[in-house]
Amino acid sequence: MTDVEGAVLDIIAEKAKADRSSLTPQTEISTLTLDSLDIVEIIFQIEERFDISIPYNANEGADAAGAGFKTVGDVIAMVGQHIQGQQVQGQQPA
Amino acid sequence: MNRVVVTGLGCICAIGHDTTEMAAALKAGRSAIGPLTVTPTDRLTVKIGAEVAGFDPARHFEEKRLLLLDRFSQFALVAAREAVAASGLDFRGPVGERSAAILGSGVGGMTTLDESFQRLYLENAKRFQPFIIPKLMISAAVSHITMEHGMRGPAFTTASACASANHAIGTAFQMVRAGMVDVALTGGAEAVFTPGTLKAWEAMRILAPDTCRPFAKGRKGLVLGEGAAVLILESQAHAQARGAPILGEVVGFGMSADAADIVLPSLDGAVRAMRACIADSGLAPDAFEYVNAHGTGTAMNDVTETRALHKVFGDHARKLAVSSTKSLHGHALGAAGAIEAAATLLAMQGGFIPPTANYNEPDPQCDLDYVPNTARERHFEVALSSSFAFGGLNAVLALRR
Repeated sequence: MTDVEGAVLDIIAEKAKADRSSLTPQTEISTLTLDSLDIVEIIFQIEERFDISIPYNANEGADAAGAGFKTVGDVIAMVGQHIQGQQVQGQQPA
Repeated sequence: MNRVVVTGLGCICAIGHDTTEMAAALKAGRSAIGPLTVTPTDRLTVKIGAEVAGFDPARHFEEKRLLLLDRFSQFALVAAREAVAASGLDFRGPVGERSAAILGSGVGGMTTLDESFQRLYLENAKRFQPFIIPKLMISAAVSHITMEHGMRGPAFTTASACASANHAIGTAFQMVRAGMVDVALTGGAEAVFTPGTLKAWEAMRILAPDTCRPFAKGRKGLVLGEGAAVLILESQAHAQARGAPILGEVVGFGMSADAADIVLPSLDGAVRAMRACIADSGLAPDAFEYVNAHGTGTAMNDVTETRALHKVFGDHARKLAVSSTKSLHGHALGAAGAIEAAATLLAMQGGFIPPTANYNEPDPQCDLDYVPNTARERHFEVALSSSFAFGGLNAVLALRR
């Protein structure tokens, strides 16, 4: 398990009040008890944890599916992309 | 019970510094949403809003007095001056004791609060200017209005987030109707374009990055606005006795609480507020021709509000003209209800229905006549103006020509 995967699982498990060990990348977000406020909170916590910005607008879907992720794995992949994107950006000359 | 007429109107918002400019913009369907210039946007993701562009406080207030006036109070005073002048009332006489002043605001003096805290935390200021507290308090605007005009009757501020102004106007209406006062100055004022406030709004992820397109497919959220609007309400007998100009009538007011969620709108709460308002007006639902909708442009509000209109009006819903003027002047939060009541009254007088701007594609879930993009020439007599606030506090006004 990567650091990213572990941290994302921690954050989602806490918000969903789910047993951390029951969550896998295959877990579908819709099966967790998360409302739209929880989704916004989760994204905030992920941004804080990894110092990234995720362009999520709650109007483009009142649930997680609308944000472009269906499973916990999708969230992990998205975070990975953003971290990588930011590193690439950081390498460019000022 | 008294009939309650409107004998004065004043407004300053993104689409006009007075009601004449505002009426022209409403009729032209001219949206004032654009890049923010009144506050730094370098650390913001959302950099647009509907600001009162070109507002120069020094043109309206002496320098010494400005030390006491937050931007939201400045707007309130400018709108109140226009409304009082239009009414022809002089509150320094006996009428001043029989007049109420009731204003709504969502958050009050945020500009002052944000600037002061920046000074304290960033610049390590050792002390503040002496009158920060009376400048930022949410009731400051209405206090300054009473002082400027000599209004000596009941005066206070209502706060119910985005429904603040409608709660103020509705309360003022009830007081005049009951005969507690002869006149009430009422409305709302808001100014939230500060770095701290905008950052907090941004965090909720409901601001549109491009523009506000209420009820349209692909809408991306609300766009914040600022400003103030003021109405002078007066008992019909009092207004007629002095030959006052009559600009319209307030005929009903309904309120409800969702008692459900701090941000998500509820169908039931909106339905009950509109039904209470219509019942209060004594008019049949099919007497209503126009609805100035809450219409924030968020995914949730616009669908819920459409369903509520269907539920309240039944088959008549399809005959209603429904528009959200927030697409023009932005969401002015605690001032929204007042700006929208002013917009409705100006449209009533002008014989047109203001459009929902930026409406480029219908949303199958929002299936009413939203008067897309272009104002419609039409005389109308009876309208609703709705505010459904965060926290589930709802307030709806019924207005008649």
